[in-house]
Amino acid sequence: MSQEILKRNNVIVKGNGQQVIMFAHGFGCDQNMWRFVTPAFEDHYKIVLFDYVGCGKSDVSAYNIDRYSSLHGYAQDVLEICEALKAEEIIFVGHSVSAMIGLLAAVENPDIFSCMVFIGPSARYINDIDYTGGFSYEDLEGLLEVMDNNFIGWANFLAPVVMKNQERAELTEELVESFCSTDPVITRRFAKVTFFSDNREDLSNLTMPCLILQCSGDAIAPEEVGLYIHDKVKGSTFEKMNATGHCPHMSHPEETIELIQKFLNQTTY
Amino acid sequence: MNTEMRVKLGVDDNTIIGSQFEDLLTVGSRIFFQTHFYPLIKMQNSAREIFLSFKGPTDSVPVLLNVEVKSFEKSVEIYCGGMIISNRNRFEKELIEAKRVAEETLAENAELIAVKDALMEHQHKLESQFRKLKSLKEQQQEIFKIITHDLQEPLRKAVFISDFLLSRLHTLDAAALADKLTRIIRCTTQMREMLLTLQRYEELENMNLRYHPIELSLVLREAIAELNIEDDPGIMVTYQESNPIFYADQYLLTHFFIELIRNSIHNRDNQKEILKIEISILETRKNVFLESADKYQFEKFVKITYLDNGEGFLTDSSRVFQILQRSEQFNKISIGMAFCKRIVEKHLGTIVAKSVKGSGVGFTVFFPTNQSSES
Repeated sequence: MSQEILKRNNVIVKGNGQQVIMFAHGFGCDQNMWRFVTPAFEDHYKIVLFDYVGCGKSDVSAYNIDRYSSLHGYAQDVLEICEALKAEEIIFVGHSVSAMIGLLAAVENPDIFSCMVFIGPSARYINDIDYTGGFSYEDLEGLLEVMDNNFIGWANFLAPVVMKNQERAELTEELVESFCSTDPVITRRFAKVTFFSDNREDLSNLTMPCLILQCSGDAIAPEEVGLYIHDKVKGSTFEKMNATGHCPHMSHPEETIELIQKFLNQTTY
Repeated sequence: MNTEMRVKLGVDDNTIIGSQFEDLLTVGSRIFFQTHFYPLIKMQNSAREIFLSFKGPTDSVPVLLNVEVKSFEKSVEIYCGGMIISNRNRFEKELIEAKRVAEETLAENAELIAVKDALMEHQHKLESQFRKLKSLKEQQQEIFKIITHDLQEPLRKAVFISDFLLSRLHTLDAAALADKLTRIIRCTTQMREMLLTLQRYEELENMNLRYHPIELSLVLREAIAELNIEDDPGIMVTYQESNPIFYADQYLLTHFFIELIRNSIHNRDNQKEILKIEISILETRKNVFLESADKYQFEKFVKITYLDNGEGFLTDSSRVFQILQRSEQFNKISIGMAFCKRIVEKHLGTIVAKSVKGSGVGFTVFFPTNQSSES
C-alpha cells in the first residue's frame, strides 16, 4: 500500500539529514519548481518531494473526481505520503495553493507536523464583503478561458473526458514538457478547486509555528491577503520579501532559502 | 516592443519602458503567466505557442507567443515574438463554447442527475451498512470471548467449590461452610455483573438517537455537575466557552463525556497534584466514507480533542474500546470506553485513542455537524 502511494505521487526522498522537510508544489507546476531551493537543505535534512495526483509524473489513473474536487482531497495526498513514509515532526513548505492544502492536513493530523512555511498563500482568491482576495469571479473566468485556449490543441481536451490516457503516452509525454502537468482536464479542475476555494475559517485552527513568505507585488496573492492570514494564524511569522512575482523559490531562491532557514533556526519545536 | 504591437495595445514608449510584462496582460492571463508561463520559461528557457490575452485600448488582444531566453555573461535577454490570432481565436471560442454546452447538457441531464443522486444515496446506505457490520462483527467476537472465557472462569470456580462442598458436607463446620458459600456468591455476582454490562450495551444498541443542537460547553458543564467534581481542587477541566454548534443526542453525548472524564479519574497519575483535562473543538471537513473504498464526499464535521495528564494506557491503544477491560488499570466491569465508542458510531462519527508522548491519554473524536445516524 505505501509503495503504491509513493509511486502514485512520484515521491522522491533525498538528503543526508534526519529531520523531514516536505516541499509541496503549487497549481500549474510540479516538484521540479523546487530544484533551485532544495540543494541548500540537502546536507541537514531529509527532503521529501512529490507531485499531486494529476500533476507532473504522478499516476493520472489514480485521479478521482470526487476526491480532488476539494482541497481536502489534495490534503489526503499529503497525509497519505507522510503515513507511507512514517514521517514525523515534518516541516511542511507549501507554495501557493499548497499552503492551504498543508493547513488542512495539519488541522486534520497536527501530531505529524512540526511547523509550516507558506510561500505566497491565499485563504480566498475572490473578493468578498470585508475581504480583499484580489480577484472577481469574472477575472477567474478569464483565467479558465486562457487555459482553455492553451489546451485546445490537446486531443483529449475536446474529446469526451477520458481520465486514463495511458494508451496515449506520447501525448502525455509532450504535455509534461510543455506545461508541467499531465492532463489539461485535470489541470482545469485543479484551477477551479484552487481559485474558488475559501479557507478563511480554517486559519485559526492551525496550532503550530508558521512562516508566511509574502512577495512584493504578487499579482496572485497580494499583501493584504498575506497579512490577513498572519492575523488569523495565531503566533505566525510574517516576512515581506524583496522578491517580486508569485514564485520566489524560482525567481529569488537565495532570499527564499535564507528566510526559511532563519525561521527554522529560530523556531523551537 | 515594435510599433505594430504598441499601436495594437495603445501604449507609447514613455509608459511602456520600465513596466512589467505581466502588467500588459488581462487579469486571467496574468494568473496563467505566474502559474504556468513563468515556471516554464524559468526551467526551459523557451516557450512555444503560448496563448495570452493582452489588454488593448478597447478590447483584449489574443496573442500566440513564442519566447526565447538568451543568457550572456552578465545579462539575460528575453525575445518574444507573437501574432494576433483574433480570427483563429473566434473559431476556437466557438469550439470551446460547443464543448461547454455539451458538458453542461450532460451535467444538467435530469435523468442522469436523478440516477447519480440515487446512486449516492445507496452509497451512503451501503457505507452505513458496512460500518454497522464491522461494528457487529467486533461485538460478536467480543461477546463470544466473554461467553467462552470471561464467564467460564467464575462458573468453573463455582462448580468446583460446590462439588467440594457436596463431598465434604458432613465434615465441614459452619464457618468453613460460610466461607465456601461466600466464594460461590462472589463468583455468581461477578457473572451477574458481566451479564448486566452486556445488557446495558444491548440497551444502547437499540436506543434511537434524539437530535439536539449541541453547544459543547453546556454539555461539559452538565457532565461535570453529574460527576460532582466542580469543587474538586484536584481536577481541572478546561474548555472554550463559545463553540461551533453541531447536532447530536444530548443525553448520550453527556454520558460520553461522563465516561471519558471518569476514565481519566480512574487512571490519574498520582504523582501529579492536579488532574488536568483539556477539551477543544473545531469545525472542519472530512470524507464521510470510511469503509467504502475510493468514495469521497467532504462534509462538515466537528473535531473534538480530549487530552489528560494521567498515566496513559499501558495496553495497546486499539484495545481501549473493548467491552470488558482485562488490564489491571481498568475496573474490570467498567465498559465505559466501549460505550463511548458505540455512542460515537451511532452518530456515524469516529473516535481514536492514543497515549500522548510524555504522558496522558488523548482522544480525537469526529462527529458529523448535521444529523446523520446509522439507521
